[in-house]
Amino acid sequence: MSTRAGRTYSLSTPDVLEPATLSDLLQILKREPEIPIWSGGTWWMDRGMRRTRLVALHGVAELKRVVRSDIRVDVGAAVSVGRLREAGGRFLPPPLVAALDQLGPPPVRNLATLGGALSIREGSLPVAVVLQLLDSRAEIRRQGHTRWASINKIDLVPGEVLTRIRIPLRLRTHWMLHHFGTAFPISPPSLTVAASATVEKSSLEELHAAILINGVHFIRLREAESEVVGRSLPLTERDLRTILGALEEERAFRNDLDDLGRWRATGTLRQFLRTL
Amino acid sequence: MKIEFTLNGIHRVIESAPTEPAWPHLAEEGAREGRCRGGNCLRCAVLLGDRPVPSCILPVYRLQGAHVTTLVGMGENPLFLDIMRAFDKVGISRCEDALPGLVMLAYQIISEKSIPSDMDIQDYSRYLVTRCAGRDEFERAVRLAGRLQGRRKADRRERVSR
Ligand SMILES: Cc1cc2nc3c(=O)[nH]c(=O)nc-3n(C[C@H](O)[C@H](O)[C@H](O)COP(=O)(O)OP(=O)(O)OC[C@H]3O[C@@H](n4cnc5c(N)ncnc54)[C@H](O)[C@@H]3O)c2cc1C
Ligand code: FES
Repeated sequence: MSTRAGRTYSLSTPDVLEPATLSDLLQILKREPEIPIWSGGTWWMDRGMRRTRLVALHGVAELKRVVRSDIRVDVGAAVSVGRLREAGGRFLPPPLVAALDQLGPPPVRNLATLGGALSIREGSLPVAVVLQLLDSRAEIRRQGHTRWASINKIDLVPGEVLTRIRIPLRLRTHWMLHHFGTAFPISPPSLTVAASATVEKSSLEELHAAILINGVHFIRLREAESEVVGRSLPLTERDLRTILGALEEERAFRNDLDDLGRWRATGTLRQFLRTL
Repeated sequence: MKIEFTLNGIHRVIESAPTEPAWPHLAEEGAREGRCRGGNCLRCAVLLGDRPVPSCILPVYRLQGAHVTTLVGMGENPLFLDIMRAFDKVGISRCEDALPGLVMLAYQIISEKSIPSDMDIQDYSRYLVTRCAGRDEFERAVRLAGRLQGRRKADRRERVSR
């Protein structure tokens, strides 16, 4: 038994491996790449998945840190959404705060972790769209190897673990986040539309828009965004067409949304662009 | 798997498969049986350390070494007392079915935000799954409990500075 911060628990039982350090975790994953990873466990439990052997992340010190500088914040993958919300309410970008508040009822958020929310194999949650909008990146480790991936390309393989999420802290003057469809975003039909912009002296300094369809198709409109950056505001009908036209050309937009979904996606984005 | 933890201040040892829900092991000390078994209705909520969690989706292995408190064990907790006082004042019924969810939501809002804004309270109250208290009543009670708690803290600070 070991005692840390007033909590006493066995470091390991034959069934549940509870590493206390990242290096122990990586060794376990090297030995047993297929072992199920349990972070908050809410996704597993909600689906009634029972396991007799697993590796639990809640004791790994390195994964429970939130490290902040002037320009970014690194969030450990096993930081609970509740704690992140409480610690970061003042400095996290507002769209992210809004997305964290939608990750389930508050008591669920006390268990659920940001790493868990981004590692669900069946699809992505709306919080992933917002993190993508903010140009966040995920650090993924396995023994002897580290890679950084954008949020829509985490694609974990056996033996890998998501260790932290790096979120740039840039000021944005405007943002929006809309979710349509099932409360459980991965069951279709669902649609998340998010956008952010920075406006300075009546000119558009930065624009980001991201869309998630049915929890699986991500759309970013980078080219169209850069075309309208620098324009003076309000945006003209032609500028709106540049963005909305790019969206309408996306294959997922055409094939994976019904008429109502397409109308909602273009409508919310148009409304946002008009408020700038 | 053998698990040792503290439930309402009493040391417990149980034997269970690691990913079974914790709820049945907490039931005799006051964790209510919920209806959804999926973290939505919050009837089965307990405090894990100082945080409310739904015990139906809390895997048993997370109990190892933890301090768990059910509504029954919260009797002396000052924030709990303020919440109950506010519930009585506003007229929220002490319906056994709904109380854990209502209390735990109120507990979390006030412990997180100290003096929660109306927006904060509305944000949380959308998770109420009960007909025993309206959102409006709940929101009034949380505001009142927040004020009682704030006053209690101010009194304590004054006593210390004297
Ligand atoms: C009642 C309820 C309501 C909900 N409502 C909503 C909602 O409205 N909107 C919404 O977006 N979501 C909702 N959710 C989903 C919730 O946000 C997720 O269950 C949660 O974010 C998952 O986090 P976790 O830490 O519990 O993950 P876990 O259950 O621990 O893990 C999820 C998956 O990720 C893997 N994993 C976890 N951490 C890592 C890691 N660091 N590296 C590699 N793999 C990892 C696990 O192996 C598993 O496959 C709800 C959940 C519940 C229970
Ligand atoms: S049974 Fe509904 S939240 Fe636990």
